[in-house]
Amino acid sequence: MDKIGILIGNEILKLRRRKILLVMLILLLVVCFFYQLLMGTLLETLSGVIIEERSATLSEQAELVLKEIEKNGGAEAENMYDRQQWYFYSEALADQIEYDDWRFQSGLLDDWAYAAAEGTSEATELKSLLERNDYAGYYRYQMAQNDLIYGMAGTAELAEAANWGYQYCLDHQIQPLTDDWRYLKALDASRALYQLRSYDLRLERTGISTDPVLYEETNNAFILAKYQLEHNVEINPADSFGQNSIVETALGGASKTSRFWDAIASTSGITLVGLFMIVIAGGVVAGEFQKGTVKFLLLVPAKRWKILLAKYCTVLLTGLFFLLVAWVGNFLFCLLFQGGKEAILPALFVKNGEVVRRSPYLLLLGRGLLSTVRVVVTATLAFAVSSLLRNSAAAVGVSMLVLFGGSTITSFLMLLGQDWGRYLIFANMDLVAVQDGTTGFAHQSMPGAVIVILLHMVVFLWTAFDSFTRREI
Amino acid sequence: METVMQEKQPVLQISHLNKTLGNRQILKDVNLETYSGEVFGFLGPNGAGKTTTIKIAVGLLSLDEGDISIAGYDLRRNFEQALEKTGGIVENPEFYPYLSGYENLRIYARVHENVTEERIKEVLELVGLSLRAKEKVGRYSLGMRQRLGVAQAILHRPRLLVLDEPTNGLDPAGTKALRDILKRLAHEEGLSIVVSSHLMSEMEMMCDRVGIIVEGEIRKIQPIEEMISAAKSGYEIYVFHVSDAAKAAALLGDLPAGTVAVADADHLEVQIPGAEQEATLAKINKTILQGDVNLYTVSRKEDRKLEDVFIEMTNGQGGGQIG
Repeated sequence: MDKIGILIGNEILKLRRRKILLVMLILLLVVCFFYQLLMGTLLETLSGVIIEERSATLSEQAELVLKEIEKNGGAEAENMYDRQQWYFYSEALADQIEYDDWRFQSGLLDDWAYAAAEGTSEATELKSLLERNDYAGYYRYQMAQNDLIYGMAGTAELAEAANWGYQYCLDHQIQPLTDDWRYLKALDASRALYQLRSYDLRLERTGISTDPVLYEETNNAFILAKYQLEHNVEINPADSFGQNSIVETALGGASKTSRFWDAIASTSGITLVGLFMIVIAGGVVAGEFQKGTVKFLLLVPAKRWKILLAKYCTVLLTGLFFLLVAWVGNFLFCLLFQGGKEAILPALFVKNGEVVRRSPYLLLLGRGLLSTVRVVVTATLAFAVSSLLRNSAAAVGVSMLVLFGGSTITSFLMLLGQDWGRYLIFANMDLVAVQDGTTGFAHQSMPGAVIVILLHMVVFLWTAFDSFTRREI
Repeated sequence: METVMQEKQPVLQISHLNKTLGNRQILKDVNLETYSGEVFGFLGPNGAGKTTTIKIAVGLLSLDEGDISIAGYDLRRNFEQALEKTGGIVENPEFYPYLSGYENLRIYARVHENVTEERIKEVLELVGLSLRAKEKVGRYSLGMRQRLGVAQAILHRPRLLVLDEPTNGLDPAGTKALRDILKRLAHEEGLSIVVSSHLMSEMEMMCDRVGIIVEGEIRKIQPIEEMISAAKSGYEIYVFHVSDAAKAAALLGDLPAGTVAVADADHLEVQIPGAEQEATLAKINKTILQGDVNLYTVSRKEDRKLEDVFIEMTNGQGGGQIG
């Protein structure tokens, strides 16, 4: 076996002398740099600009819009939408409501404009809330509305869940501002609780039970949101790793995730590493035939399978090295552009109804290992193609064609709702997406994906080794 | 040399080797043994199966039937031990162009047992590449690559050295240097060297024994001296430069001098049997002069014989390449 070690050493020695490796390394770091620059500074700057511009123009815009609607009759306009706009903007102007005002952010202004335009009975109450700038009153109004609606529907227990968030904000004097994370978190918690209660109600009334996993995750989401509110934890790095994705999808959660951890957890650089693997794996066998050095390679006291195994190991090692560079590069550049404030936050989870703290670096490691799978599968495919051909450019071309063609076909199958597409390797390679549940195939699961991957790997490797060991040089 | 020959041991043993590529049978029951201390010339026209045999012997091609052993190790059962004892160049020596000559050798050395840095330097010195060892092979000339190929092939002190057309791309000086190295390795260090070629003259200068392969069959295996003396014992061809070849030929028609052929207007070629050569020559000279034809020179058509043997054996096949 030490012979394989020596052969790997030789392969690395050869690879290290190729300029292409250095080019790839630099390219990878450049991509990481610009990605983190975008995620860090640029996005922050851009969103800052937008908010500033908006808050400066609500009253100005009001005057413009009002002047326009006046031509159509103002408050008496025939068009319902015009009337709504009229009430919205004239009120904003009268009470000096800007974009950063709770009355705008909570939707109170919208509610009032609608009620006034329709001439419904709530209009007076909403108008007085607006004038008194009374957010507690608004919470109470919302809760009363819920009580009324759910009471009439005979589902009073849902009202309590729907009102949980308002009650919490009322108790803790939290204004309904969309830039206050506590308000959003309270609404998230409320939404989760509402979902739970409606699951219970459905079971009670129709006997239809909910998927226990979904039920538990929803319950966990409520526990976690409540915990974060009570312990004043705004950012949970776990959110960036798609840990609560099922619930997030179900609830349409609005609360903020950590931009720091979002930027690090994203697998953007990994696609590039996959691409590099195609080039390296493509050249590693076919290139020897192309240059004629295969005779140099094989005229040694080592069996062919050992020589090929050494090459395969070298390709994988290179892939791991690139991945490491990508992850470390991402992390360092992220620190550079965003600072380390969020880097030391613990990730929060719910285990058996209890909130537990864990290092987000463990999650990062887990994600890193999952992303490795995709690179390994890509490299193995390219390696198999390479060992069948005698020209490295052709090997790279064929591998690219297979990968991109396969991914495109898989996407089409997904769009056409052909569920069998999930048995294709291309739908399973990205285990991160499988784990996050974002591949687009509903029935995909981690064990299924692993089986598909293993079967394909066996085929790829068998093809490579069989063709190489039998090959007549 | 005699002493070495006496203690010779078989190194490469090929028995009943058959090989079919596609639907063409390339090798037909090839049997071959080479011994330590000898340079074995593997001779045959292009496409006769020399390279195929060599490739099978070093494991680049698979064998259909038969057995091959190198230094006592069966090629199929003990591939790694057999290859440890083998060095060679097949077709052209190929190296990684982006590595230096030294690095190429180092890569090769690492896979073998007991090749030290000193040995690499020693071998580079031997082939005269010491000064340019640090240069990338991509910048080497064909001759330099050929020499590096030899260095690589002998680096790990193999017992069998297989060289496929080793003088390709070498200038006459390089060819001579290579010849000297190979002879020394065989006769002094006891290697068994197999050199393939389609050039008889080259074989004659460096080989101790020659095997002739034609259309995948071994036609003859013989020590070079035997082959030469066998060729000479029959007859030799003499060239007569005369003033009128046709007239001279007519004059010689009465003599029992062997076959007479008119080469051109003033040259005559005569096959003269080995026995009583001088007497026959004297008789021919006399006859020509007496017949009123001027005789300018008489010379032996040297070394043509061995090639004639070769041509005979290859049925004139690939005759154009014999030179």
